[in-house]
Amino acid sequence: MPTATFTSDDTYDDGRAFNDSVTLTWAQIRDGAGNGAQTNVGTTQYAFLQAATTSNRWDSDYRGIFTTDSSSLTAAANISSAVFSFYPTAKTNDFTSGLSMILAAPAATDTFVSGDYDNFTFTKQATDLAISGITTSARNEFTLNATGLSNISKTGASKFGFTTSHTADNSEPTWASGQPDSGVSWENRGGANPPQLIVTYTVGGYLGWGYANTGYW
Amino acid sequence: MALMFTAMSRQFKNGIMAIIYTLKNEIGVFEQSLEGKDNHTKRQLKAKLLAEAGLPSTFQYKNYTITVTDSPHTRDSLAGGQGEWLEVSVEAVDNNTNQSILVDNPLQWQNPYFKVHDGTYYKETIPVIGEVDVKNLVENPLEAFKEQIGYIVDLVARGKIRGGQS
Repeated sequence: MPTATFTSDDTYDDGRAFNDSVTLTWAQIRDGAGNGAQTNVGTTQYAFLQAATTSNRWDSDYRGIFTTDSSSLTAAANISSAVFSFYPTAKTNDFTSGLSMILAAPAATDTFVSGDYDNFTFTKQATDLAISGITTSARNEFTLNATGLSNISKTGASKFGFTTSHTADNSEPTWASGQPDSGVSWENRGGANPPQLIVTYTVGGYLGWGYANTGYW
Repeated sequence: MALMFTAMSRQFKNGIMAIIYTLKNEIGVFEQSLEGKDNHTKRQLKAKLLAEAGLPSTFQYKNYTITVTDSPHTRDSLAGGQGEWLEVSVEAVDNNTNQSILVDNPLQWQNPYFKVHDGTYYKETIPVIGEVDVKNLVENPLEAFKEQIGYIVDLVARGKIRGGQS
């Protein structure tokens, strides 16, 4: 059973879509349109939520996007397990949040636009990682659940998203003054430890690209 | 937006961890050679670079002894794309327990990285969070390959992905 590692590149990129420096209600910032996006932006927040200075309003919600060309698996592949691996560099956790792996559906995989912000589906692709438990300066992993495995494309681009658990769960944190925030920054595809989607799989009656039990490998 | 400042490295000096900043590294010769090429060609060249990096038959990664059982090579995928994949098969042993790590071979990378941390850092500023240390990278395909193999072994050893299904 082969173990294949996929990463982002120029055509299937990583980045983020966001609302930044706004003063919106929870419903507006969670379900409304975004005001910006960045592609291949480097080490930065790929999931971030911040309170506004105005009571019960929200200033920022950043959502990460990871895309990769997984078409070489082909429709014949049976995926048995997968992890999304990433390398956090910093975190904040004023709201005692989790980091959620969700689905992204950017209009294009090579350049993200603000319109991608409200094209996330908040279905969990893996069990949340508590931000308190995330280790910076080390690889951390989401282990994909059955839904996540089913959303690895075997014929095209796999597209995953990341956000705080408050946004994913539509659970408004308790607003407080001083602009508290929760979020995680990590290295992108240009870093020393780029995000990776690592998949174990079989192909039909074959094991990967070799015949099973033939000693081909 | 993250802004680049100067950088640093961590070195033990008289028992104290010293931090030295340097500028962000310029891109290397191989990376320059990728400029202007399409993604398929980039994948091919990266796979070839690592396949020919001189991976030793046995090496250490963290507390694992890793033995190469099928030499690194490039290969096509079922979906097309000539030589786009880097592939190798390995066996691994946990040095602490002397237990085998049952890796699912072959290990494959579609777009392997070829740069590693050179020990120095530069700083970027992230809004709200502030300055963070960013690793300076240098082209070193052999070490990058070892790191990528070792990480898969470590994932299996930690039970993060299914192993031993070969």
